[in-house]
Amino acid sequence: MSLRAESGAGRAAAQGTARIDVPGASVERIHRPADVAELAALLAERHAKSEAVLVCGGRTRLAFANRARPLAAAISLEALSGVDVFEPDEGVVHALAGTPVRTLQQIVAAEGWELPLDPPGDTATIGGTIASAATGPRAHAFGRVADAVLGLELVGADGTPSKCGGRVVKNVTGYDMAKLYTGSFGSLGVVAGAWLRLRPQPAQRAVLSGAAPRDGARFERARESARSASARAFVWNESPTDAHAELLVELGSGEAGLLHDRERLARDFVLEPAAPDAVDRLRDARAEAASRHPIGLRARVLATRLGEMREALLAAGFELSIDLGLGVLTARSGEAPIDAEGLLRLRERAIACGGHASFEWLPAAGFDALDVFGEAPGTRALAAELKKRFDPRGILNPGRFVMGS
Amino acid sequence: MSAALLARLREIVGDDRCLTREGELFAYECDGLTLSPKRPLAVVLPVSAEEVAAIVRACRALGASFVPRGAGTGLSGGAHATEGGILIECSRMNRILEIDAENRVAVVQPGVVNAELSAAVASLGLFYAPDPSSQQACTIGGNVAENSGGPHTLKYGTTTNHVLALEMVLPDGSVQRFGNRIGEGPGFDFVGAIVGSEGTLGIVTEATVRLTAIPQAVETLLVLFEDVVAACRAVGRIIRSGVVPAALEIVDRRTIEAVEASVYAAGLPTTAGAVLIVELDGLPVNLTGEIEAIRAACEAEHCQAIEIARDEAERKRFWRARKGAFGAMGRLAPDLYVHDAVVPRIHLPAILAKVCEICDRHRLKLANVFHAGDGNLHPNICFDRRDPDELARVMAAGKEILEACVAVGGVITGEHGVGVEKRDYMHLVFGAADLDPMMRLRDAFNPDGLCNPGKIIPTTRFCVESNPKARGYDAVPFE
Repeated sequence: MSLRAESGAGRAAAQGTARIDVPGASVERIHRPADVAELAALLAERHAKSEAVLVCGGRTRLAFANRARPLAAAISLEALSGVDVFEPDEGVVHALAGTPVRTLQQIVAAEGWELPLDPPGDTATIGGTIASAATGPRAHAFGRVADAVLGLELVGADGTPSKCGGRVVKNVTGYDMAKLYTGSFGSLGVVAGAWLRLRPQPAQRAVLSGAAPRDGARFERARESARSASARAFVWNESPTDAHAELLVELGSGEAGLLHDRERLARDFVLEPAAPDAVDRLRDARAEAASRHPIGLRARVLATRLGEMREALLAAGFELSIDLGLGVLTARSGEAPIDAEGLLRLRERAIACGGHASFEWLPAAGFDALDVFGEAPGTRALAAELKKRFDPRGILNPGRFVMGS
Repeated sequence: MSAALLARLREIVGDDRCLTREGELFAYECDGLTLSPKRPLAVVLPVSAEEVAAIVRACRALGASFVPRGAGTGLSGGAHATEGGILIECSRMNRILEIDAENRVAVVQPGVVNAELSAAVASLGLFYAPDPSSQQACTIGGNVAENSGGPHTLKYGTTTNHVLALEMVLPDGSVQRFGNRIGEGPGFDFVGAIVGSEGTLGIVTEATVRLTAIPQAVETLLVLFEDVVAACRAVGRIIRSGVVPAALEIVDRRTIEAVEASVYAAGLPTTAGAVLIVELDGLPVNLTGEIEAIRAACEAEHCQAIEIARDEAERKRFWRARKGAFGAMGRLAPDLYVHDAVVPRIHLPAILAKVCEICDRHRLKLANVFHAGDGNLHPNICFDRRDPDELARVMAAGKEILEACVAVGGVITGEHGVGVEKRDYMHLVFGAADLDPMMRLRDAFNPDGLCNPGKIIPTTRFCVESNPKARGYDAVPFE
């Protein structure tokens, strides 16, 4: 199954270039502020001139956006990097936006903690992960990105620094602004730093994989098994042309709990130990498949409708990597042609299944009119009002987020 | 204006659901924060989103402010009416509309009582996880407004982690839905922003919430310590051990004494300086090892004794001491000021000592019962409001406690909300530049400020010019 492995060569090359290409625009002038004051000054200047900027971190998700309106420059936060507070006795860490997630994971792991973020790509940064709410298969155990965010430092469109939330694990002091900023793709403000909640590493971990017949009954059984108490990731990979699906499971628990769940899984599936980093490799391969799969689609639906959505995507020729516990279908186009109308029909199906679908990447031509995120019914006016109040001159990532905001 | 508005409201809900008599309004002068009562012009009791929308439109047409209210159990005055405004009481919208057990989702009206939702889904092996101490009375709508927590927040999160979608009457009188049943949709996370907004962005008329599987096994431990500081140190060790209990609660000696003298008596030894309640849940095979880790952490802090509940009855007895604590404190004084602040857990021992010192210095009777695992303090100050000098000392001590918590990286509220109680303490945590985005958010929803004015955003000091939306709620005795 081709989603399982691919080198990151395409992404590495993109990072080496001085030009950044995003849907609808290219930008050659790249600023790399080294501290918050510099970032604030840059934004204040652009705001004063009403010049639009692209804000980016590790550049792992730049293709996932609507077509940008003209951009004057890019602000890359890669130099705004570092972990300035890590309290192992508290399970809390503060990192600057450009800090690579992988680096932070290693730092906290040395003290027995785990950063509950699982974005694809070695270069993914804390700020980019928060801005794009990027998750991976371990969202099964970790939850949403917003769940890990305790507080944020931001710089507004006009260059004004601010903060929200805090460093404590429970907090209702004022509006929960961090929820609003998380997943807003930098359209309301630029994340400069974050307080993050950690979770204890599981005492033991096991990664297992195996083949399963690609029939609906076995799929439903796998979906039920994904509710296992110790599951961290539970993935069903399949292609319309494969005879079998591949199951990839990561468990984490105490020794007794792990044994219990392994025995339970063994009743239904033949699973063998897999490489410890198999889930990481799958997660990254799913994100890096753009060179071979012209269309990347992500759908999330209700658990009881997952089989129905799976059938629809397979019928349209997509290869699938399904996070069973989450109800997330990562779909990559196959040989069968599909046009914009076909994609919109799949989105409608996802909505009918209680969820939603977005298009993570699309071919350069023929799909210009599609909103890759889709629209939350009835919220267009409110979203526009919010954007206008936070970014009145429309300089932050203009056009790229939902409904062109 | 008043007569015209009342006539319109009676047209919408009828005479029997539009309360205007003095005796009726008296009951709605405040919520759980009793120190700054405000009498509304009327209280209306809608039974549908359409009625709520019509009420809001009527208020807007005549420029009247309106405030949503659930069961009125909130402790920060978030549901206080504004003088001459309309209180919209949602408790009669109390139907569970749908239970989807397979997808672990429930759709409820805002007046559904928290504990009744869990009771309704228990036979399906499910429960609604947020469990504020007032869960026998408080409503889901109120929980959404306040982002309510509870003892089991440590493992299960607060209300925001369990709300998937909302239907809300916006301050312009339109009805809008946000979110979906998977809790993930395109665009801004409006649901996340609305939860905890204390009814200032609109009035929730329906909530789609996540249900959680009842854990296979539960173990509840009662650990006795010589003093509350030792209990706090044990909490630090437990956090560091890698075990994530479902709950970690501390009850101090004064609270134990009050509980044991009350109808909530749970047989706790009044000789203990503090009790730590630890609840573990999950796979039965994992709990044995976790109990040993808890035991080791507590013994390292020289605990006096460890009891493990032998059955459900004993578990309920342990919890009776915790959940009945606030009621029992009625024995200590006529009034109780329930404070709510959060500190990084590593500062718990020092801040507890500081809180005691502050109250001693102000000659106030203090009882502590709190969510130690979250660092969420509830210093409860017992007093008599008829003594103006004592009331002044209560206020002074409260302010000092908040300042001490903020000084170590804490915040002024962990679950009660800002409301009017802490509105003018927001500056302890946030500067004007931090409050500005909050005002932008509020103004996007509530541009003319008629919806629950005067809450959350400070109206005094540096913010008075930027927040003219406190009509009817400018003078609050919290200084």
